[in-house]
Amino acid sequence: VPQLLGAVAALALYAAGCYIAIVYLVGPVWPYLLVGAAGAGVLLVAAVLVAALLGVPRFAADPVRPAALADRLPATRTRFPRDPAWANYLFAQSRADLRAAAAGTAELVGRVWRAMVRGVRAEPMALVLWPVLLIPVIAAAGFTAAAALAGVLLYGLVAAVLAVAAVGWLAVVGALRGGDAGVRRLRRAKATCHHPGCNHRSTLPAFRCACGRVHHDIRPGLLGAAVRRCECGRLLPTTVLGAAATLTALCQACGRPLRPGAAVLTDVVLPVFGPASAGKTRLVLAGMVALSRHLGAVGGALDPVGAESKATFMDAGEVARPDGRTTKTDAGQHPAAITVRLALARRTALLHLFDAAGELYADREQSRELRFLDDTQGLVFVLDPFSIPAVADDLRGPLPDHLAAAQPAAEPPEDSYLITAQWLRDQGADLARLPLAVAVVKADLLLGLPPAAGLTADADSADVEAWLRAKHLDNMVDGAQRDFGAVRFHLVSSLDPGTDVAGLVGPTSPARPLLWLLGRSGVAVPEVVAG
Amino acid sequence: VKGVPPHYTAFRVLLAVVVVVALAVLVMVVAAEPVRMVVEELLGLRR
Repeated sequence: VPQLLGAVAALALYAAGCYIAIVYLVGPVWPYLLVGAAGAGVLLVAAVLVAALLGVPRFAADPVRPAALADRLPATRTRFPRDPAWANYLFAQSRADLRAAAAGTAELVGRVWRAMVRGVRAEPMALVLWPVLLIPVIAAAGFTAAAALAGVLLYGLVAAVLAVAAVGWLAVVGALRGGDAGVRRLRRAKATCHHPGCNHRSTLPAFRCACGRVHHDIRPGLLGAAVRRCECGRLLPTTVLGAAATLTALCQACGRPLRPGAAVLTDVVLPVFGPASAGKTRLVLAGMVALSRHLGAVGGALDPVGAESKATFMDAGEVARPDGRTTKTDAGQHPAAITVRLALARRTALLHLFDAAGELYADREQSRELRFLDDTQGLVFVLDPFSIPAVADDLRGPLPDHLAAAQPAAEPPEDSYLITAQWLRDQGADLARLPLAVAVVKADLLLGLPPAAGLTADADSADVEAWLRAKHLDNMVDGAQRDFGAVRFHLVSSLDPGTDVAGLVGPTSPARPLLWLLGRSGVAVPEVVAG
Repeated sequence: VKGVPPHYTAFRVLLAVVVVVALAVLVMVVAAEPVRMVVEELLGLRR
C-alpha cells in the first residue's frame, strides 16, 4: 500500500509538472513560435528558389543540353529527332530549375524533421519531457506548413509568369512562322533536289550549320523564335527565308546540297517526256538558249545554277545551231535536272528542266525511276511528227530520203503518251490540275512536205490540234484533253533558238512551250518588249 | 556553364526579381493592420 501510494503520488506530481509546463511554458510561447517558424519557412522557400535561379551550386539545376531535349520536349512530327540546338528557357530549362529548387527546399525541411527524430532516438528518455518537446514540434510543424503554403504561392506565381511568357513567345513564333510560310506560299517556293536518283521535293529543306550539324526543321519553335543557338554555340536564323540566305540548304531525303535559292524562290519543275529520238534533248537545249535570249530582250535574265547546269548551258549554245549535233541521252543514268534562275521585274524563279532518256518512258518498270514526275508544275510532251504512222506512210513511198533525214522516233507518239499518262495516274498525280504542252517538233523538216499541207509556221494551238486529228491521233488528243487540266499544242523547230534580232522568240521557237508552262506556274514572261 | 545561351540568365534574373518582389508584397500584406489583427485574434494574442 505505501508503494502504491508513492506511485500514485509520483504520477500526480508528473501530471502536475506536465500541466504546469504546458500552461506556463508552451502556452505563452507557441503563438510567437508559430509565427517565427512560419516566417522562416516562407523565407526558406524564397531563398532556395532565388539561389537555384541565380546558379548557387548546391541548388542550381544542371543545364538541359540539346542532346537531352528528346526526353524533355514533345516528340517532333517529322521522322527526324530534335535538332541539335538549345531549347528556349521557357520550355525545358525553366522546369528543371523549378524542380531543382523544390527538391532543395524539401531536402532542407526533411533535414529539420530528421534532426528531431535523431535526437529522440539517441535519448529516448527525453520523451518523458514531452511537454517541453512540444516546442520544437510546433516550430517544425509551423515551419513545414508555411513552407508548403509559400511553395504553392511562389511556385504558382513563377509558373504563371512562365506561362504568360510562353504564350507571348508562341504568339511571336506563330507570327514568324506564318509570315515565313505565307511569303513562300505566295511565291510558290519549293526545294527541288536536282541530284540524279533523288529529285525529292519539299517546302522545308534541312540546313547545315557551319559546324556541320544538320537542322532538319529550322522554323521558329521551341528551339527559338527569331534565332536559335546551335549546339556549337552559333546563332542561326529560324525562318526558311533567313536561313536560305546564310546557310547551306540540304535535301531532306538524300542529304545533299540543294541549289542556292531552294525553298525561297518560285520553283518550277518541268519534265520533258516522249519516246527515244523524238528530240527532247534538243528541245530542252535550244529552248534554254531561246529563253535566255528572250528574257534578255524583255529586261530579264537567265542564269544557269550549279556547275552541271552551267556546263550544259555552255553546250546548249553549240547544239542550238543548225549544224549542231545532239548527243543521245544515256538511258542507263538517272536524269539530272538542268536548273536555271529566271530573273524578271517582279519575280525570281528557279526552273528545273528534266530531260530523261526516252527509253525510261517506254515501260512502267523503268518509269518508277522518274521521281521528278511526282510533283511537277506541268509537262512537255515531245511529239515527233515523223513517227506518226500516217505521216511516215505518206513519205515512205515518194520521199523516203526526207523520212530518213528526220531520224524519226522508233515508237509511235500515242504509245509513249499513254504509258506515261497511265503511270502518272497510278502514282496518284492529279493530272487534272496540270497543264500539258504538246510540242510537235522538227517543224523545219516537216513544213513544206505533202503531209504538212495546211500547216504553217505561225499555226496556233487549234491548227496544230486539227492537223494531229487529221493524222488519226484523235485518241491521243482526246485522251490528253481528258487527262490534263489544260493542253496546248505547239509547232516547234528545235533546229535553232528561233529568236529574232532583238532576241524575242518567234512562232516556232522551242521556248514557246516553256513560256506557256511558266505562265501557268505563276512566272509570266512578257512576249514583247515593254513600252 | 559553357555554351548555355545568355537568355537563360536573363530569364532567371527576371524570375528571381519576381520572387523577391512577391516576398516583399507578402511581408507588407501580413504586416498590414487588418491582417495583423486577424492573425493576433486567431493566435489568441489579443486580450
